Amino acid sequence: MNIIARSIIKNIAERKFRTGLIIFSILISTALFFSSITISNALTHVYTQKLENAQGNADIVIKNGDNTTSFFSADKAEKLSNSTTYIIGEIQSPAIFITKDNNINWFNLHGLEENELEKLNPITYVDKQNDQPFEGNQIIVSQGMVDKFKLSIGDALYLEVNGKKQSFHIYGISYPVGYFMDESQFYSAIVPKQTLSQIYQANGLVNYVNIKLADVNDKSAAITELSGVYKNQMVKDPVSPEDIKSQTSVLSTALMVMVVVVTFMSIFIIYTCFKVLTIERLPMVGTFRSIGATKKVIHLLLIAESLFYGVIGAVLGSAFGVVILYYITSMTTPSYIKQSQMMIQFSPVHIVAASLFAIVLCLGSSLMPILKTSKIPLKEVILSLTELKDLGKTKKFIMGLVFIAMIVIFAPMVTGQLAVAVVGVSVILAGVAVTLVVPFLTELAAAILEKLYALIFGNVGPLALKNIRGNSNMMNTISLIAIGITSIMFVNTASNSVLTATTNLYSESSTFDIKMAAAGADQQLVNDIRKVDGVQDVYANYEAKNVKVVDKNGDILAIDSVDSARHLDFWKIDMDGDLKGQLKKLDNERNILLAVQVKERLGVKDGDTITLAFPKGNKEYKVQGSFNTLMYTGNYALISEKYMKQDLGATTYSNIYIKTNQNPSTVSKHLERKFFSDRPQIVTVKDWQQGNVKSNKQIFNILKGFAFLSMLIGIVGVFNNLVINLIQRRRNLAMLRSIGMSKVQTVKMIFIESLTLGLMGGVFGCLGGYLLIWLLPYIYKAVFIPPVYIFYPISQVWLYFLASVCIAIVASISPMNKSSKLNIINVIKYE
Amino acid sequence: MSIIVETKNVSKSYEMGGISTEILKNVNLQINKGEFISIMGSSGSGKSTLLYLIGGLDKPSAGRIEILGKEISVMKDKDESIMRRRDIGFVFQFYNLIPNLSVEENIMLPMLLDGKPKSSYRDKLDGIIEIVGLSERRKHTPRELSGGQQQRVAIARALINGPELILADEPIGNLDSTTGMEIMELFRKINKERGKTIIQVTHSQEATVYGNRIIRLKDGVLQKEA
Repeated sequence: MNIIARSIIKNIAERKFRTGLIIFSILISTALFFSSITISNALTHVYTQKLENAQGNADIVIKNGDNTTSFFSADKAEKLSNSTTYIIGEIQSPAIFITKDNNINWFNLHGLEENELEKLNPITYVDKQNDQPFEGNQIIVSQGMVDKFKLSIGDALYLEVNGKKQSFHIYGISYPVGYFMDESQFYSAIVPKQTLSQIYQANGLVNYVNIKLADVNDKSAAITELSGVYKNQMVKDPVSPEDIKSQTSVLSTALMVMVVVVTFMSIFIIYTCFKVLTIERLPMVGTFRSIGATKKVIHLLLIAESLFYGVIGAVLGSAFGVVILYYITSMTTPSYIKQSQMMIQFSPVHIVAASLFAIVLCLGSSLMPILKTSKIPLKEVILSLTELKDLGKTKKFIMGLVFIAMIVIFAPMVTGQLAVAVVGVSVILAGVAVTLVVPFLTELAAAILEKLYALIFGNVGPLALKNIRGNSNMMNTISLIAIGITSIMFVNTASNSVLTATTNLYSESSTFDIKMAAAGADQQLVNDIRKVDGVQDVYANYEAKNVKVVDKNGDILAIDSVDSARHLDFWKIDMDGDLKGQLKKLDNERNILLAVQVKERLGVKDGDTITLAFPKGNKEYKVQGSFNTLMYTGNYALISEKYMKQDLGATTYSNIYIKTNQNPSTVSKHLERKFFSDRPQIVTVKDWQQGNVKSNKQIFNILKGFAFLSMLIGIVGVFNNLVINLIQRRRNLAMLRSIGMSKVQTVKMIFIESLTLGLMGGVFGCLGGYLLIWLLPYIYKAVFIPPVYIFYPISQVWLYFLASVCIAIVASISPMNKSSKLNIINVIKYE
Repeated sequence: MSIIVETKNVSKSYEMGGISTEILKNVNLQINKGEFISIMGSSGSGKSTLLYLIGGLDKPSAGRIEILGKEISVMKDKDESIMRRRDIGFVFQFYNLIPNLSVEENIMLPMLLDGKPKSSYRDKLDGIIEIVGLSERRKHTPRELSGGQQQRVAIARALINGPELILADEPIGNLDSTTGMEIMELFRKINKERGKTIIQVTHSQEATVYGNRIIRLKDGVLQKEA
């Protein structure tokens, strides 16, 4: 046993390139697996930290509903005083700072006393006036702010608060932590609560309450209790886990898809490596078997070898996974967090899971070639008379076609929860199908191309084609290139389609130029907006967020109200039939129009009734119909304004849509200036699009990075295959040289072979890519993403071809070089 | 009779483990057109090395080799390859056929490499296949043939371009005696009827009977002919 083991260890050491390739494949797959299972936790941590820092360390906050500015008493929360560490009432207020060149800078003022600040969100000062108490017109601002406006301690700062110009003096300058961590949208500043109270004449009332519980486990009970007391306010967790989960789950789902692709390629590479390795070991196996080694011993040793690769791959893969995790977290973390305290999150469980994945991947992929050796009669093993037999190419092709047929038939048929599984299996089957049809189609293509090749390349052309036919290494090379191209094409198309669709969301589905939200947005405000210079038309509606569908155990992310007379002037709805009539019908009774995804997710049909949990109680709505939309990724519905007002109890508008007859940016500045005391959130459709592009690109760049890694595995696999191919063909090449093939002809033949491998890899890759792209709508549907227009990559196809040909040719440089230096006699005589 | 092969003071040495080993020492040899030469000698005597040097598969360390009056050892790869295609035919002990090509494709290889159009060698191919007796097996691949049949394919391949010189490295070393003699008979026929010059390396005394001259090598030195 020891001798056999030693012999295998020597083999591992001698075959450095192959050992490296197997370990590299496992490493990449494991790293991707590790990062995809940890990314969600890591990002959750980052976002939680971000929100916690911005909000302080309170467990519960009480604030006004979305758009109101009224003040209320913090005293009612005192009923919980026995179970809390602190209850701090705060006044929050917007303010503006107008520079000499008339630029408006937004501030969010926190009205807090110094001792409260100490408990809630302590300040780390860069500089501070130590000799004075924090009172009167003192203000604490950030280092970034004073740097930008060239201010320092004691300087005066004039802010417009509640419509009046107020003079403040800079009392302290804070490092960019806590409230000052994120100043990307507005500056933060802290002023004495008393001062703000006087400005607003709040008389001891507040508009924000921070509560820290003695025992955080009492949170949900406390929220319920406080909600009973603060009926007109929102009592909530400052950081909503659901919101964070929804932000991070898209990325982790997408990464899982990449893991499937990369794992599949790794299995393929490890399988082919082990097949070659087992063939090479057959003489050795034969020798050991002839002197009495049992099958079991040989199997155990080969499995131990596989385990060795798995363990090394697990260790390196987990380490590389941490690097990838850091990279992705860093890419998706806002810069202000990165500067201060970016941390990656993973546990030993993740490492164990990734390691197990690596070992199972390696053992699973190598088991089949290892077990195949046991089917060969001992005599044949000893005399090396055998090869490991595969299925014939025709059988493979038929099986591949069956897989494709299954995908085409089943993927569109299945809906609901089962769809995720079916679509997932379909993606894997598509990859398997590509590898199965490659040998037959290559043979077919080679037969078709023979005459053309003879015409272009002379007699060496058809010879190169014949070399490809039936050569398993070259078939594997084509498959690897094809799978790589398939995955890159798929990821690019999937991301580009979603990117384009979300970028054009408003321009495709609406006709307004500016979207605005403001505190206390009533009809008066809407009328005032109409008077602003550049405003052509205004439409406002109500929006209910996160509405529970009581009887279906689900929720709808956003429900908008519809004024049937005006809605279509500002919104386009993708729905068949008489749109105006449909909207009008919403007014007749409690009817609801659902986005197609909501309808499918809830499993309801037209005419069904759903019960929605509104602030004014549970209300039954009849499903009137459905429409396609990308708003809120399709988690969206429309009801009539009349019933929304009744059921939501809303008195102020949630959203105001504005059409302009001037440059929207200019109009938005006018609006900001005029309504600043109403804390308007104003965004032009153009700015919104740009912001959307930026945030989407981040996610898709990560995905593309992963696709690139899968392509990298493919490329390394191609290099490996071509080198193995050269080793196995040395005798043939030497024979050809002996009968008169010149070095130039040899190089030319290998070049033509590579070119053909690249071309065929490109063709099959693009076909595979189109198959997966065809599946894309079903993938979107399975994960309840609304259907987007799929941009089939037609003009870019030549790029995929070029990439595939380049990979094959570059990978064949070494074999070409080695073939020209072949020692003919050594090969012919001794190999 | 014209000289087809001439070696002048040919020596060949190899570096092995830092030690230079001389395989051939000052070999001077003349082979005339139409001869059927058998090179004999014990293992390691340098007979195969001499054959490969004559075939241009290796370069001598010293001396010169002329084939059909042209010095092969100084030829460029292209010219050397053309000579191997047109003027020399090789037959190996282990046949060295391309496994995924059919019998006729294997036979046609030298012509294909020479860039000749298919139509120009169709008749010739039929004739050669007829000579080696493989008409029934022309579409088969080497895997589907016996050892003797494979060697016939190798011989046919060596003949297809009508070379003057056939070099055979232990052509029956891998065959049973009956098949081996059939192959030798085929060589004799080619030598007699087609006037081809044949140089074979062999261990078999019986095989030498088919030739008309025996050259013996001992430790790289050419022995005087008997």
